[in-house]
Amino acid sequence: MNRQADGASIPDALTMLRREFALPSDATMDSDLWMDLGFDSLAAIELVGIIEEAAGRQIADSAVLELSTIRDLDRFLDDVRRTNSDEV
Amino acid sequence: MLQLVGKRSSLRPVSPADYEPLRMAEMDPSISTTWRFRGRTPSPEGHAQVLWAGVLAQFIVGDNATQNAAGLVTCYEADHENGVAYLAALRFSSAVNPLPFAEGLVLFVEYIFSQWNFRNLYLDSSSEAVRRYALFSGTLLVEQARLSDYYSTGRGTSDRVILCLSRDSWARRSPRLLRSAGVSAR
Repeated sequence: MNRQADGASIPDALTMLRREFALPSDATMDSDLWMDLGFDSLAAIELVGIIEEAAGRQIADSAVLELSTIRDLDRFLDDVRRTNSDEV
Repeated sequence: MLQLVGKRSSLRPVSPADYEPLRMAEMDPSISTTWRFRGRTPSPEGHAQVLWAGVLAQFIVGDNATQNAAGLVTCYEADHENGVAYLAALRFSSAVNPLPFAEGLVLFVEYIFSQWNFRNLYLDSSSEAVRRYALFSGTLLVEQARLSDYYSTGRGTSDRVILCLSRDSWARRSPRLLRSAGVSAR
């Protein structure tokens, strides 16, 4: 795992999903990751890895598995960003 | 040395000590009608024989965090002339976190494509199982055949579905999956 990144290096959820996954053009903040965007266990593994690379530290699988919508992911990334900013 | 240990899970060969837990897992009501015995209850001896029928490689997926078995992954009916084989994957109902098993499947597919020169790996499944275990969906697995109403159970019918995982599609997606699993790609 890389050194912990500062909060600024962690993008918002839509930017992250557009960059890393084939996000449909009609996706909104209320789109459900699993039901609307077809996320599965493999996508969850990838998402955990992408967040960990951006944050420079490990995150729990359960944190991603408990997310429902893109808005939830955005809030989670806010938390990760805030924690990193506080600790760096 | 190929790495069979990931961040969340590890692969170990199936041993005789696994037979009875595997037999019980395969008869779990949540999967018994979609897995190979389709609701039948094989004897311990009969199950042990079927477990190795046509098998090329087979591992127990272990959850690194709990040290418990999370499932079984199998490659069978290898056709080396045509460069194809079949995959089977069974996640135990006791494995609450689905990601260690999914990661074990990633390690297994990488192992199969690394060890043998297969072009395609097929998953012979039912529409019910594909819907329930939305694994490898999206661009990785492509439906190549469907026999309508093939399987009949007490609850109705479901289609037999053959999904294909090609070496090319694996090569595109595996680097990020393996990185996320803490494993270096080939």
